[in-house]
Amino acid sequence: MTTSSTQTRKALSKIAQLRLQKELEEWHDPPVGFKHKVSDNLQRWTIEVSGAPGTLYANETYQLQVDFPEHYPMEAPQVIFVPPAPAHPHIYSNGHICLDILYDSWSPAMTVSSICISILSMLSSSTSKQRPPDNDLYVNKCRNGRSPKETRWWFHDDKV
Amino acid sequence: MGNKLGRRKQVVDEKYTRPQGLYQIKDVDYKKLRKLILESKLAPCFPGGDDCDTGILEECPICFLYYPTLNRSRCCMKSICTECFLQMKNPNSTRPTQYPSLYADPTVICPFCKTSNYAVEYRGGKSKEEKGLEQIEEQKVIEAKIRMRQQELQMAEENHHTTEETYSSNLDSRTENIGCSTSEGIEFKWYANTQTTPEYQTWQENERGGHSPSDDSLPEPYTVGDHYMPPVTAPVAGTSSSPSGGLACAIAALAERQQLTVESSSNNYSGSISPLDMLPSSSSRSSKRMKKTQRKPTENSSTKEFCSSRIFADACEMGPASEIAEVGPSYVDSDDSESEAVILPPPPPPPPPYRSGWNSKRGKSIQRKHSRHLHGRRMVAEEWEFDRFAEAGTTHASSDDSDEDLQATILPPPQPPLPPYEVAGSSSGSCVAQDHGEYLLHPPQPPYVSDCGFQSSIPGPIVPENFEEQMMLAMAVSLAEARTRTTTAQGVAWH
Repeated sequence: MTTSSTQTRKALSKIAQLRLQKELEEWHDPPVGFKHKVSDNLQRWTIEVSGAPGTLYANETYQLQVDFPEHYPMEAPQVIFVPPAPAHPHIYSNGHICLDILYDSWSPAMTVSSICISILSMLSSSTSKQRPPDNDLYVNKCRNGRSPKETRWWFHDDKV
Repeated sequence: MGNKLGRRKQVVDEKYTRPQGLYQIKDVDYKKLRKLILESKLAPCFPGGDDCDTGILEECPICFLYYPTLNRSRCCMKSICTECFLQMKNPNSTRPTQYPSLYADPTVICPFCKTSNYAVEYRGGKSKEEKGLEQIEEQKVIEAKIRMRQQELQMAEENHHTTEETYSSNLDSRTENIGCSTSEGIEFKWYANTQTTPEYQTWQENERGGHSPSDDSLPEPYTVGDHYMPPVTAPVAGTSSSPSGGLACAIAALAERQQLTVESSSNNYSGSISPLDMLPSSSSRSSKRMKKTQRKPTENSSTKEFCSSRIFADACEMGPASEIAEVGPSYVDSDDSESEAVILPPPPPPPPPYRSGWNSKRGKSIQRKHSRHLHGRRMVAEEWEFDRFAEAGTTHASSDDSDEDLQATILPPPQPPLPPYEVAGSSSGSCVAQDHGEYLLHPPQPPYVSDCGFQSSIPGPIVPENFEEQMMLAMAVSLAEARTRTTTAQGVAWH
């Protein structure tokens, strides 16, 4: 919970609130494998992810923390795993996720559910439970609570 | 003949020629925006609504608000409202302007399919022809869904599941399928994610018909169900008329009966019983529906306040903006080039027109996984092409506009019958639509039939719709009371 909350965030814009309300309504019937943890904070969602059966993460549960910027959906939300994060070649132990749609490839046409599905898909296609090679270095750099959105990500692996 | 398609010269209220304040916009060229809207090259900036109300409104997949008309992207025909469109820009672009896409900036990519050179066109509301095509498409989807259901059922039987289980808890079948084989599961999930249209999936379904059953029944029911826009209202109309019809019948019957009892003996009830029966039966059926429909309004109530607090952006459009226009090099000399900005750049219909681009760009990390399916998609895309041509034909025939208009209508890939599912990605089609689909599909299945869709047309059948009906109802009640009194007096229980 602590990784990204240090920065002070601006309140959601009107349009962001409106859209999030609607997205939240849809979460009454969430995508398979996900559960939204009810809270009164519209700007930060906690979502429970269950590993898909038949994958390395079957029967495991993780928590995603989604923080929305003032100008959502024009700007991507910040999505991290609440540590302990699943061991995955693209997920750092501090919960940061290397996934392009969370950063460069974000499009306002995407939604929280589409992000979640992408993340679950990323988990499901993993063939080994290991950390990224530069995990320690990166996590060390982020000690001051840096947001993953400030990281310059390099998306190189198309396989997982 | 008529100018149904193409740009209609309709009068746009002045107040809709500038943003309604959905976003905080800094540097908008209001003058140009106004011009484009007045020329019907961009959708008017109507204030977005929270509900799909009657079902005529279209939802913008970015802001999730409902509008009477929307723009369509030239590349993939996805809808977008003007205010959201103004927000689209290349984040890496150094251009100061907020909406370079007004100038057909090649660096702006489509938020839906990621094609570069994002531009939109406006074709007014959907014409009858378009709606007709949509209906045909819907019919196809429904048929495909039925086929899929059958497959699913077969599979369920093979797995020694009762049909009830698969029907009542789709959840089961979904998780089950994910479990069946990892890779298939992922790919399917990805479909859901990539905002494929329902047809798309279902057609693909057909083409891949030979696959293992586990392929064939993943979240389809959901994706498909979610994305209908309000289709034909035939079933609704039918049911909605029944309560008042039943009421009228009942009243007529009561009135008749009263007369009869006055005139003759009280045994003459044979004719009146059946109309009377209509009342209770219709009410029980509809009360179910009412329960469901109540859900929606309460959910929405929380969002209402935001809508009501919308402010008009009353920035002076003729003042500073016009100065800018004169200074800015790009539009110093050209009314023409301005108008061309959106319409003219010869629209290269993006070759693999449909979603392959979207798919490949959408998630690099998973891209490889789909290569196999891209093929399938392309095949479907060809079918789309076919449809488009067909539609182009009708467009052409019905448009006797000037050359320019003709170009406007013909050049951009004519709108495929997509619109009803535009909501796809946002998967927010929680409105009417879903239920129609389900309704048509599973008539015998009450939970679906009665799901939340009908609030606009049926406020709850036994609740009178207007004053007249209320009066009629009151009359009916008092008549019935009078009737019971007389009958009991005579010692004959008619009911």
